[in-house]
Amino acid sequence: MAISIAIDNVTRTFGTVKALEGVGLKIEAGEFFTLLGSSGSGKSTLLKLIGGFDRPTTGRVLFDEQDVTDMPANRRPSNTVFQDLALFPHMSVGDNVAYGLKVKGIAASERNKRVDSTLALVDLAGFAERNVNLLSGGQRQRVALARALVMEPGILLLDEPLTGLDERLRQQMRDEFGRLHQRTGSTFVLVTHNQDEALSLSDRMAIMHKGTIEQVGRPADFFANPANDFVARFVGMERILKPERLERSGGDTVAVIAGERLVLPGARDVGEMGLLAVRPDRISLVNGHAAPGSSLAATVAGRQFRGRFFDFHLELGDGQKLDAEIAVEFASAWPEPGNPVRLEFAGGALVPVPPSRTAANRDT
Amino acid sequence: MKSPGFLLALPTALIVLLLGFVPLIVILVWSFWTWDPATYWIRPEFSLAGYEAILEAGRWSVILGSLGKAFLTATICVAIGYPAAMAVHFLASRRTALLLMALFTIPFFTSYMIRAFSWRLVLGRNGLINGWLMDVGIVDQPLDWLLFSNFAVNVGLVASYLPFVIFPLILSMQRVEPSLLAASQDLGAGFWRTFRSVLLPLTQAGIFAGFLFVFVMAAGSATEVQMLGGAAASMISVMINDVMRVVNFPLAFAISTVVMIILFGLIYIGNRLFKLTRLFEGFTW
Repeated sequence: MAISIAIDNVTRTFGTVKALEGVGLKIEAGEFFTLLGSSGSGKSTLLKLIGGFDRPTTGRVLFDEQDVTDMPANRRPSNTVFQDLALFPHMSVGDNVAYGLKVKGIAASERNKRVDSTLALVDLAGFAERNVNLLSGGQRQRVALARALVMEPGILLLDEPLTGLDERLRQQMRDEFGRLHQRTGSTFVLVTHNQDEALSLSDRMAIMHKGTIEQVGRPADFFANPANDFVARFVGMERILKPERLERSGGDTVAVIAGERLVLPGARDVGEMGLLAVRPDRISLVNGHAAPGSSLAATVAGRQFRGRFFDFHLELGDGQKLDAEIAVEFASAWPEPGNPVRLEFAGGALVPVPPSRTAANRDT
Repeated sequence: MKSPGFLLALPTALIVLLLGFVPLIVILVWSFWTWDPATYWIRPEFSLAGYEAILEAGRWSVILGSLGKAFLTATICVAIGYPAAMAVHFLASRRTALLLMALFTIPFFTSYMIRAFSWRLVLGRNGLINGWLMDVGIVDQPLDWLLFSNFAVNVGLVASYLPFVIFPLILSMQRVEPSLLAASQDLGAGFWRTFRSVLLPLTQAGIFAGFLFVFVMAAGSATEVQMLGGAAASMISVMINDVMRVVNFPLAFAISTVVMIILFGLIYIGNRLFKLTRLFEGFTW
């Protein structure tokens, strides 16, 4: 049965370093939840606390409303796929998968049945006798998954399990995770620094930064309503513009940038100090006439071929930089670097975001 | 073979070959020669007299006794050294670990003689232990078997060679990824289960290497037996010394050869069973 997780005001300090600070989080039973963050954000520390490999300095961890803060890992109903997989090198594939069942005292006949069916579940039927050290990266990955899943865990913890795999294999294993989540119905908690993984797999996710949670929500929320400029950057809106000011006008927000007025229809109010996160796929380049109120003057600073599109590097009148992704078939007619253009912004091209709490956040 | 590595290894290889291997071959060959009473030396004439003499005068029992003492010493060293190595590797902070390692190496800094002699002060009739036992009132008379006994010899041997078992054990523990122990715990195993099913099997090369170091050195030791053993106590090296004193070279060489074959056999079997060489490779599981 899937188990829900609650993190109640958890702080974890190592000496003077605060790895986690006042983190609160609720993960629903059966959810695929992702902790997304760069290294040092505290995501792995949080996963360790959930798995029972570490204790919070203050605060509580609850499984299904039960306090498990002081329960060691071997008694928790959670199982982990470790970052380095941690397959036992002195055991065969089958013995690796059977290990947890053996510890639990499950009889050999029942054990073998469960090992076989779990190996089949991860497409490794008939691999039980193999030496784990001679498997490919993808196969090792599957053994690690099987070893955890055979325990029928209420919670499956995945600690950056796709690092070290090549792109094709990542894609394949990512689909596998989604499929296994459907099949088992367990609560899955994935830790990753890869936003593609997080966006494609998660029911909900949390972006972590410097030991705190910046935003929790469904993947789409992070694009529509990023909590601040850090989050916007993290989900791929890498250019952030600083307008001269933001005003409310009716239901819309009006930004003043480089002396021009730009109406953002229906955009939310984030206060006067707000910034604008740029979605480069929603900007088009216009020669000559452009609708007033939805376009800005800019200069082409350069362009890069990116496969399906050209990445235009642009500079506004006040020196601020932004990028636009222009489909290849439209790009050939556009001016060479150094020439002026007008940028037309489709709805949602500029997302108002509040600045994040600490200035230091902008470095990342 | 013209690599810089080969050139760098050449001096060491030559030294090992000339000073280690060649004398062993010489001993092996000479053990089959005949003793010549006219010259007090040997002449190149095939003879098994040396080997026959091993079977006389209780020499076999000295060899077996020595190997027995060495086995016991090595076993005790592993039993004591394993928890010590675990403490250094898993529990101690970096600083404490260094301090502990330094403490373990202290026996290297004193001569065998002084170290063995100091045990006399501890184990003797008027020694520390007997003094304490009588003060506390556990015994009325000093215990005689503490000194000049097999017990004393084993204490001396264990104390001398303990460091040799700790270092290979630490080395082998460093090869065990911490995540493997975490994985075992994650799958429901408590400390003892993880110890038995994961840590012990993965450190068996270190256990055997440490065992072997101690076994070989204890089997070849002389000082501890001479200083701490009883009047009748003997050891292979002491016996060889005695035989040399009466210039029975073929017998001395024959004893050496037999012991050498036993030790090499042990290393060979151990390596087949425990993959000893892995300890000295890169991590290639």
